[in-house]
Amino acid sequence: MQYLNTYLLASLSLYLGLMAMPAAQAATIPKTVCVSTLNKEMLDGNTVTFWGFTDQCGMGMGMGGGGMSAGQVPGPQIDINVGDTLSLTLNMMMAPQEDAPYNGHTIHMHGADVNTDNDGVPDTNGGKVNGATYVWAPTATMPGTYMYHCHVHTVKHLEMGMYAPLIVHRTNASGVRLNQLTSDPLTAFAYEQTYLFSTVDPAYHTATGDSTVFADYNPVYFLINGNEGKTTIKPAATKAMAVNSKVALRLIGAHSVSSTFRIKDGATDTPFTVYIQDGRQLATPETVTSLDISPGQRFDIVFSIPGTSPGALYPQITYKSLRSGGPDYATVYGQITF
Amino acid sequence: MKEQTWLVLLMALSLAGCGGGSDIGTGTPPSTTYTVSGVITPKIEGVVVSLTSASTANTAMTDVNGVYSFNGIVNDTYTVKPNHAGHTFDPAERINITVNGDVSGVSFTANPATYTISGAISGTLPADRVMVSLTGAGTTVTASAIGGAYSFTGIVNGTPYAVKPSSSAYTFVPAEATNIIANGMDVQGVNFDAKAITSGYSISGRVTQNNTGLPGVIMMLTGAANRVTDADGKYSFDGLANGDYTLTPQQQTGLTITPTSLLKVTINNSNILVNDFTALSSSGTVTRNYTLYIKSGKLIINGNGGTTLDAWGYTDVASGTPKFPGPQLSANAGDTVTVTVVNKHSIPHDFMINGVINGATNDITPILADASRTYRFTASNAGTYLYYDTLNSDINREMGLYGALIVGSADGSPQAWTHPYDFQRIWVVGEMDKPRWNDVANGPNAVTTLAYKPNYFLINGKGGFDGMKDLGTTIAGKVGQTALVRIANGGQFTHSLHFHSNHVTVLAKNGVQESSPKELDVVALRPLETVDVLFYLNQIGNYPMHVHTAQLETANGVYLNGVATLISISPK
Repeated sequence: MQYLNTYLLASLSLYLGLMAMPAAQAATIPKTVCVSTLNKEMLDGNTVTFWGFTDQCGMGMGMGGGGMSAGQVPGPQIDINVGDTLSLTLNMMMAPQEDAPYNGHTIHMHGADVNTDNDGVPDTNGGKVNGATYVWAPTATMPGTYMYHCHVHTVKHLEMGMYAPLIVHRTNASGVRLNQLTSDPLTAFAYEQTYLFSTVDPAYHTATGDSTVFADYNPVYFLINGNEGKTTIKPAATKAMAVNSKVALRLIGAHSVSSTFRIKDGATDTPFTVYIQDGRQLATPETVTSLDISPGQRFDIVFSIPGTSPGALYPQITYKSLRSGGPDYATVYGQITF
Repeated sequence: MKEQTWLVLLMALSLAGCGGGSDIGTGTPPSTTYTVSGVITPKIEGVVVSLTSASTANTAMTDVNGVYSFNGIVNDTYTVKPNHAGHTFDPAERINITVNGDVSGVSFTANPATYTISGAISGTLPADRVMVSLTGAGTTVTASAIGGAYSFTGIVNGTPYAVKPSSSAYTFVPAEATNIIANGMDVQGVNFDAKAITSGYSISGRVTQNNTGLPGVIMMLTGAANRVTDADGKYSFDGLANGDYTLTPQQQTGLTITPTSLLKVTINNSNILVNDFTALSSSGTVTRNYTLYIKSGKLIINGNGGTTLDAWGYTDVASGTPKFPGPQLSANAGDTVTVTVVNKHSIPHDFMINGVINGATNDITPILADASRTYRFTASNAGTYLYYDTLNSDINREMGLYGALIVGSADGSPQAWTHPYDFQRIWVVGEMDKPRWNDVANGPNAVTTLAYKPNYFLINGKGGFDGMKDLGTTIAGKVGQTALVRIANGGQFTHSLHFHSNHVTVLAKNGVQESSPKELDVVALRPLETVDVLFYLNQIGNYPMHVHTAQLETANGVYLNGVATLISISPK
């Protein structure tokens, strides 16, 4: 499923990219997403109801069935280039929602410096929700990783799964997308992959309105890209890459606890370099073996695949208590084979 | 119980009645009387001896030979008991003495009763033992006064004793206590005050500032270990031989102490008093004095989900209620700052500013209830600092004992390092666990610190809708302006502050300038961390700033509260 989504998105991106190619210049990228329920069976056998974005509005159960495609958690990744104008529409058809005052949904392009109308926050935009189109035209200084998420009653709606990656790519002078994070040639990559981190407290999924449930976060499920990957044998995300190649990972903190990210080859920490944080290039890239990721943060990192095959690297995140000295909750593993 | 006592008495009376009847029945003449006598050994004159039966009581007194005698005693069964101050007797009494003829030899051995003499050695006690000697009753014994207390047993009644402490390192006042007499009871409180023996002479005195003693000044004297002036500015070098000495106070940051040195202080068979040293604020250096009173009080969270929390905090008003966060302390880089912390609370507290206060230059031991302490430091480096209480397993801090110290540019101009700004905001964030911590801390039971599930989240002491409106908290200005936002995390949670539609530039962390400033829209602060960011106002509109962490956007679950405020930018 994960692979299928990625493949589908890659095809879609390629298609859009080709569309833009003839002019080789900035384009308006129209996107529409809907909101749909996803009843997801977790590894412990329990089912958790999520609300997820989907870009396959009305494509699910056929005519007259009234069905929608299930929501995706995380939602569909949106890839645009610097200079493009993203025009992201929220289609509220059949969207599950809370009762007033927290009815409706919005899209907040997290990290995008946009005006109030495009910020998707009903608490500051005069209460506007539902069906809006959100526009953002990132400039040349803004390539990197962002996310979009609902900003209605965020304490619940973000937790429900209404989050998705939003990637802004660099281009060359002709407007062609580059597989390179910054102007530094060391950031050229052969592969890129998104790791979106999130946590799940099932009580937040069933509670609604102004409930004291939302005062106490007790996460039970720990995810990368919507999947539980409790062991290296059953990783949450996996991708095959060639030896000696460069890979860029797009790291997104959509979780609600503290965390530390590492890339391990067995017991050994593989160093990686942070080039972009929160959609802004670091003046001094930082090469590290571990990275604390707080809720809302994004990082764009680059590292090298070793030269001997076969082998595997395990990008992994340890979710921790927000309290200093508190317990670790769980480690979730991704996998890169080569 | 009372009934049983009565029963026993009735039985005794009836038995006595039977005996009497028996006597009458045998026809013994009631007029026949006898003598009961004996001797006290060793012979003591004046011992009172009692002779009692169920129906009669008589007393007699021993003569010069210790002999006593009762005459005219009728036929009966008696108890004989001697009694004399300062003595015990063996046996204490003799019972069942049957008198049906003269009875002699009802004798006793007298033993002098013994008592204790005790007392304490006060003053600066020697680490080793003080020996205390006791002389009297023909002997001298010694005892050790450990921890200042001594005690002698076996003191004979009525005998004068002398008590004398001795030590090679101390003299005592009084040197000796004489004519200590136990008069039928223990003698307590034979106390002595210890004074250290100083061989040689002393150089002592006081350092003052504005006629007030200046504590904490290191005083240096040739050939002697350094001294530090006490709370009243006093110092003393003891045990000095005759000769010439050089006395130098160590200069303190922000102060000039004059004279800088006394090159020749001469001891010639007498002690020297030097009160010449006075301190003045250095030219160009500003001293900023703050007083913080620690008190118990209430923190009110307004709006939906709001509550009133029991809290402990600081106030800068002696008669005031605590403020949350504590009053802001401000200085320019290079200023001297004094903070006097007055503990008006029932438990010990301490005071810490990471990177500013340390044990090498400040006394960082606990401040007991009703005590106070002054911390003096130089605000060397520009930046934002958190002052807080480290004691009580984070309970003191959780209850609200933290605040911000902000250190601006050296000349006080609105400039953050090299970056000019138009206005600044100070955000002190934290959180409180009402049911598990705040509701418990004032009560008799201990807070179970292992569990921490805060349900109120604070920015500048506000955790409700008012945090979005507070003019001291919101970023409100015009396009083109620059705000310096100083953030300090006094809580136990990491706070992940998300700025909508704007990136900020991180200039410093924990008072240390960033060598490579980052532009971020999420600024994460671990507990006790501080961050200084520059906010360029260039996006017209209204935007929230909030912590991007589930429950931290609520007040006890009610959205949108907690650590949140408003960014409001208007056209130029």
